[in-house]
Amino acid sequence: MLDWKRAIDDRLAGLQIDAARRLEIVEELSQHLQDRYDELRAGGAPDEAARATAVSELDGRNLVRGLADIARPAMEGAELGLRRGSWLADLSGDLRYAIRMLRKNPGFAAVVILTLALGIGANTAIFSVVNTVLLRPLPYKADDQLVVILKYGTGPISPANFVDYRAQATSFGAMGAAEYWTPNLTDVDQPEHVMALRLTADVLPLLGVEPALGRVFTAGEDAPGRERVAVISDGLWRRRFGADPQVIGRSIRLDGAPFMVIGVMPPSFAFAPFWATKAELWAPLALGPRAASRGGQSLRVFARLAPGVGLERARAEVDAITAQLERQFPGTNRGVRVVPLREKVVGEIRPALLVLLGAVGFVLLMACANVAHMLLARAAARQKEVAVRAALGATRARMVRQFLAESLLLALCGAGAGLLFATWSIRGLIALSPAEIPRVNAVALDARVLAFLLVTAVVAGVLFGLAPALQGAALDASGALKENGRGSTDGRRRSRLRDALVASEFALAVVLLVGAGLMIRSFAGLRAIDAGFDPRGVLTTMVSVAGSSEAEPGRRRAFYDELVQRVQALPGVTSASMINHLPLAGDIWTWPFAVQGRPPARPGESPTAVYRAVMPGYFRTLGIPLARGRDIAASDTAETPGVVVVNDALAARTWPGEDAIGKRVSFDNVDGSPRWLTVVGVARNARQEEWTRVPDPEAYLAVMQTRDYLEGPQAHSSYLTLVVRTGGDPAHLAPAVRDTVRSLDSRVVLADTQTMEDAVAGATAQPRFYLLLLGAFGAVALILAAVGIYGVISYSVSRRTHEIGVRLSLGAQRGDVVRLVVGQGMRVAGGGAAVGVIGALATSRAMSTILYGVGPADPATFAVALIVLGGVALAASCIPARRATRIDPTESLRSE
Amino acid sequence: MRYIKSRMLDRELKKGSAELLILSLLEAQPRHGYDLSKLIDARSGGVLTFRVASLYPLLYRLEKRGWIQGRWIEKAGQRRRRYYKLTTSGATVLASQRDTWKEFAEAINRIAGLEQA
Repeated sequence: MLDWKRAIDDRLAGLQIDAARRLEIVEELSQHLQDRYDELRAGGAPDEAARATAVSELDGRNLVRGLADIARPAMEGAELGLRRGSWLADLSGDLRYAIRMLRKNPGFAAVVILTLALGIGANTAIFSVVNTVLLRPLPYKADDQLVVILKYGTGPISPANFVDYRAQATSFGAMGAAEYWTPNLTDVDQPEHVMALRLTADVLPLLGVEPALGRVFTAGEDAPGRERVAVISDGLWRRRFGADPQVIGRSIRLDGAPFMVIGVMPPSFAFAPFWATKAELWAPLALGPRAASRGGQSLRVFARLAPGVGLERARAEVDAITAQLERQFPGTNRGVRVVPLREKVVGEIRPALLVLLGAVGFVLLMACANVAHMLLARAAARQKEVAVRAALGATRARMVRQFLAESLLLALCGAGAGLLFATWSIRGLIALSPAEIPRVNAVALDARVLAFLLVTAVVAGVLFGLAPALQGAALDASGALKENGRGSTDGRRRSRLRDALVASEFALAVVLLVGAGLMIRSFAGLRAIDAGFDPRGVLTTMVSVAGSSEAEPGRRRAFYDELVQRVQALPGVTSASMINHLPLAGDIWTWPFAVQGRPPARPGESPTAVYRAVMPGYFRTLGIPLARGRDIAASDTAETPGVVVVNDALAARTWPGEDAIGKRVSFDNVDGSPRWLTVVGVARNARQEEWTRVPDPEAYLAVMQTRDYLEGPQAHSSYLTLVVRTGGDPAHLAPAVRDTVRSLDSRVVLADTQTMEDAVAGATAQPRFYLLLLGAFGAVALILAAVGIYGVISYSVSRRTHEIGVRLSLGAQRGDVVRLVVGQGMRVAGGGAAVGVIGALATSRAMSTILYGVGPADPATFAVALIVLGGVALAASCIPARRATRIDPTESLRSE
Repeated sequence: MRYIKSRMLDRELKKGSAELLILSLLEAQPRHGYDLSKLIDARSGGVLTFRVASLYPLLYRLEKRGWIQGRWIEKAGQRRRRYYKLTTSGATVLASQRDTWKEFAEAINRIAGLEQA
């Protein structure tokens, strides 16, 4: 046949017809012209004339006009990668084509989208936590200028020191102090224990947040006598005052004293951000005579840097003032540090969150590697399609773009599904998260999280799509068409790429499993810690008499006595007692003490002990064994000589090698005339505030001999925590205990009712949270690695059917085949694992802040992770290996 | 008839009747484009000719409307060709076009008095 193509092509050039159709038209018209030519020749026309006549009958304009209405929009041409059109049209064409390709293979698409949804969703969820906790500014104006001034960067300082800093420092535009306060909201239907803060009048203004209703404190309202005003949170306003705007000016009673509500803060407001985070009410802090006190460190100082003043200058100035105060008042003023507020809020949690973000990022990388591997296998299966398109003239770049469009489409679908998964997991994260993570309740999807989701999806799409796209498009078109897809040229490069992908999955899996393993070891270490008490079967509840008639100095003793006796008489109760601050769940006070017979310590150098006040029976109730001596007894009263039980640590540190029983210490009036307490018992060390911290020296005084607890008007001495031991489920005891308290006085407030086991769980909530997440990531990593190796080995077996058939027919044993296949899998896994070990060594160091009792390079953890992964690789390779042994040699050779 | 064989009339008549011609020729059996053009030429005694440029756009248009359907068919020892066959809806259209054409032709005849000539 003569070549008519050019003549026809020239006439079709102006038309937008989809490429396949165009080819058909050219063929059909060529056919016609050839027939016409043959006819003319048969009629005797010379070659040239026949040819010219046939071509002339194409009559360009008529043909073009006639075809114009069958010409379709450019889209379809773009799909085949032929036409150079507008970028947007190409993109939408690519996407439409991609949608069609995925629809053809819904199972494949579903698996890929699901894999990606898990990866992208988990990343989005963790990022939303990071976003809220680490990235979002604190809910105050220009929060980068806010600092806190704290002892050793963590603890409160004394009122007199605060007054000195405020008077002398020039680096700050404003400075104020806050003190923890938990008054009872009384004279209401249901009295309630409220978390609150006392603030000097400067604090709220320096935060720069306007109240939603009313006003905040004005200068001078923190003067004694004028401090009976309160600003409340949005939450308290809604919960207790029905969101009534008339609440402004209303009088409420806190611990029985009248306060006027002057303002309601907006819902977004929370203060303080790093401690007392649940405060719902703020009242002025009137220091009064305490302004001169250099003991009683209870103030946390907040300040805003003056305009143009940097942190370093402020630090230098505070250091200078601190040094000068230390000279003037030795021992009262050490290690005071200026810390940026943001750093204070998120500094401790940052490393842990970044570890989680890194780990979940690895999970996504693994998911990408898996998807890339699936796409590679699919690209191989699509050789013919690629070859056809290449033959039709699609450029390589054009086809890479088409492949990428498909991966991006998959990634975006994955992102959509991932968004659902993220929404769901964020709820779970909030529910599971420990209280130590600041602002975690505010975690939500916002614009930044959505942007992250989108960027992650696009990056993931390019990441897992690029290799298959390049590989797919690199195909030798004529080769593939000829080979008809059997693809002996499937080739080393392609399989090497697949191996590399799976190996990298294994490397990532090692890192993730080591992370999870370290967390498991760490948590096991935490669980193994001896609390020093027996938390099982113990119910605890805070009992606050403030604002009730039981707060009267003359009535507390009888009330506490009566309460303990009645609770002890409840069915199922084996013992009951009270303590000022419950271990692990309550406050902790560290007080200096003097030792009889020793020279007075220099200022600031007195030994200190954790200060507890207990009712008789506390040690029995909590299950703290007494090493020596006796418990505080009912006979130890204000009228009898003072007694104290100390813990092992105090006894060992104060009287090493001696018997502590009979020794005397004093907790009050350390400098003047001490009130001596005789050590009557030595208790085993029990955990105090932090679960992992080795117990400090601790002293248990008798509530009945401690005037503060019996008569002190202050809020901090008007509550004790009831501890009740039962043989049954302690939680079931709660209603009976509540009724008992109510029957004595319905205005006494109960708060924080929980079992001791819950308190212990709360103390280890943070590591448990990390364990849970890293464990989940590790499990997902294991699954992905298994699927990856299984996929690559099965694929390889399916490609090597012929080779295996030849081997078998040449006398290879089934065992040889298994060894061959499994060996291949293990080589890939081993290579990856080796890289993974190096990676894990490099990255696990980032975890050191969240580990307990195990080093980041713990050999046992590494060994177990490798063994587990090795087992998974073995198992995953064995399935395709067994399949390979069932290959029938004759059958496989015939298929050739 | 020969008097009025001006180019214009030719074109107008062809336009109006072309669809009917193609559908009619495909009624009996599937045919390829060249076959159709030869048949029209032969059966009209050379009065009507369909060259490439007018035939194929017409075929494609009919195909697009779903009246005919083209399919590549390879026969032994031949290049493959695209054969068109009449579809069910094409057959319906053909019947209705035939009626219309018949009425039209009769009307023309009555007015132009060709019957008496």
